[in-house]
Order: sequence, then C-alpha cells, then structure tokens
Amino acid sequence: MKKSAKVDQDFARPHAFVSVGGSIMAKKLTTTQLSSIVDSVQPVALYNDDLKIVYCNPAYCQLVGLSPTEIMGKHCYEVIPGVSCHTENCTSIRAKKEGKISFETRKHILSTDRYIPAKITAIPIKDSEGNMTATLEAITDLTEQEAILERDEAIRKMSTPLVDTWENIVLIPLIGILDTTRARQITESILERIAKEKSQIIVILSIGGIATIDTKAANHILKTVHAVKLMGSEMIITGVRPDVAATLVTLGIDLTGIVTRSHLREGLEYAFDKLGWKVTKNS
Amino acid sequence: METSTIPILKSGDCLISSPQVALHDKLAVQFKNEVLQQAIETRAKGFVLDVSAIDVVDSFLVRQIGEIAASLNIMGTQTIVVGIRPEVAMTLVEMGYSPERMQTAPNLEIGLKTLQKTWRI
Repeated sequence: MKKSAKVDQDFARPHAFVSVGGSIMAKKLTTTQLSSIVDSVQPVALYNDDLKIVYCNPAYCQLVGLSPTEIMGKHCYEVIPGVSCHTENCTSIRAKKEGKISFETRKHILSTDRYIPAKITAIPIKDSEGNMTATLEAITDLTEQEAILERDEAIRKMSTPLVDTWENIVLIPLIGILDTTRARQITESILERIAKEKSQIIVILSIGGIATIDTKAANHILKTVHAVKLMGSEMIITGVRPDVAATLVTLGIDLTGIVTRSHLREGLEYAFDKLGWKVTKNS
Repeated sequence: METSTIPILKSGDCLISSPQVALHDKLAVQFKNEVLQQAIETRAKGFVLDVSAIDVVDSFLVRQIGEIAASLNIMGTQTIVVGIRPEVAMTLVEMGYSPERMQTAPNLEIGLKTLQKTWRI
C-alpha cells in the first residue's frame, strides 16, 4: 500500500490520499484520525518556507523539551541548532533544492538539558501549484544506538590486549573467534605500538584459544606479520591448535617465512634467545 | 644532470639519507641515480634509507626503493630501510611486497647498529 500525504496551504486540514494496489481511492481522513496518526509517530515538525515551525507533534515537543506554544512560530535553527544551520548543508534546504528526501546525522541536537545524537530526515512538500514551500522534518533519536556502538568499541578494544611480557616482548593472547574485524583490530594496535616503540620488539601472537579461523582473517594475520617485519620488528605465532593448523593447510595458506612455535613457552624461549636474554635457575 | 636536492650524508663507511619531501616519479629516479653514484664515489659499505617522513607510497616508488637496495647490494653496499610507517607497511604488504626482499629496522639508530653488527661496517 502506497501512501501520499498532501498538506493544504493553511496546514489546518491535511488530506490523505490512500492508494490501494494502483487504483487511487480518495479518502479524506478526519482531522482527529490524522492527528492521532501523527501523534503516534517519531518526532515530526513542519517548517514553512522561512524555516519557521508551523506544526510539531507531541513527540517533537518532548524531544526538545519545550511546550508547543514555545516552539510554534520559532525558526528551526532556534529550536534545534546544529553546525549545518544557515548553510547549504541544511537538511531542509537541501530537500527543497533537490526536491527529494534528504538525510543528515548530527552528533548533537540541543534539548533542554542534554545533547542528543540524532538523524534528521527532511521531506519536501509541494503546495497545490507544485512549488516546494514547506518541509517536513522527522527526527530519530540515536542515543541508544550510539551507546551500543560505544560499548561495542570498548569490548573490541578489550578483546585484543597488548601485554608487556618482558623488555621488548609483547604478547597478544587471543581467545574466541578470529574474524576479519578482529584481525584488522589486531593489525592496527600492533603496528601503532611498533611505531611508538623506540626499539626492535618481538610480538608473540598466541592463538591457542582460537577455535576457528577463516581464510580472510588468516591472510590478514600473515599480512600483519609481513608488515611488522617491514617495520623492523618481528612477530611470531604460537599455540596453533591441530584443527586450526589443518584448516590453514586445507585453505592453502602459505606460512613459509613465518616463525611458529607449538606453545607460548617455546615462543618466549625464542624471543629471549633472539633478544639475548638467558633464563637460569638458582641452584 | 639535475640533482634531486635530497641530501645524502656520509658517516664513517655509511651513507645516510632521509628524504623529507614527497618522492614523485622523476625525483625518485634522480634520487636513485644519485645514491648509486655516491656509493661508488665514496666506496661506502652501507646505506641507511630513512623513510619515516614518507607517508604515501605508490608501486613506482616501491619499485625504485627495491631497485636501490638490489643495485647497492650487488655493488657491495648493504642497504637497510628504516622507519617504515604502519600505513606504508600495510600498503607494501597489500602490494604483495615480501619483507625478505629488503633489510629493515625500526629506526636509524638500530639500523646503523645492525649494519655494524652484521656487516662490521
């Protein structure tokens, strides 16, 4: 079912044309019916040509924290100011100019007491002569989405710890699943670390806790090993489990030139040897 | 011959160069020729190329640097490339450049030490 809404010049009595399966049934909704629809959706406001607010629904009032009387007649840039206000990037101005729906994601829109990350959708509205005279702006609150993204980021960072094991030896213990995102995260943190370090370091990637590995991730790890080498340091892989090893061989991944050790302790021994450390037992 | 204006310094038996400008194609070729010429003239045993100021590489530049290293090695001058940035390292690997083809070190200091240790330069 396609719906198209047409708004009269005075905005007081909006009509709705409901088309069902191609044939248009002109059906006039009563004002009460229409306003109950509008009231139940996300924050929506109607701006006239001057970007003055001529209509807003209760959700909009609640979002910006002002009463309808306070909002009506004000300019949109007074109620929800943003960086793109008064510029060509303004969602409403763009929508009117291009004659199509446009979007904008803002880091903050100002509410009474807090900043809200939001997505703004502007829909151009034509009057009966076909001129673009008004825009309808719908606001989507992204607070929850942002919080989820932030939490994801924090978890991702925690999932690839760089452990300073010894002077110039950095250990990365990996547990769980190694996918492309995680592989990329590892690459990024390792290379950043090496760039910061003043001396040659040995990175031990312990993948004993990795259950599965896919081709892309494996290739990414190999590329990381090569990149580390190019930056003058060294990366070794320890604790490759039998099934992971079998998978790597089946996938045809070439591990020549890469130092692998069966356990973390062999890996540490290799690193100590390489850096000239000698571990001796007292008595 | 036009000069590339990239300084090539001599310290002991070593040549050191650290390009601080973007090495576009023509400049890279000039630089290569100058390094090879200098290596012959000064009879240097080692060459340290510091690329820490280079943040963008293309396949041509990579080729030129590879050629410098290969040519110098044939001429008996050990080449070591130092200070490759993370993004450059990733680009090189994406291009399929394998690290065995040139000797690398994290920075100039370690590069010089490596030359001294492995080649007694």
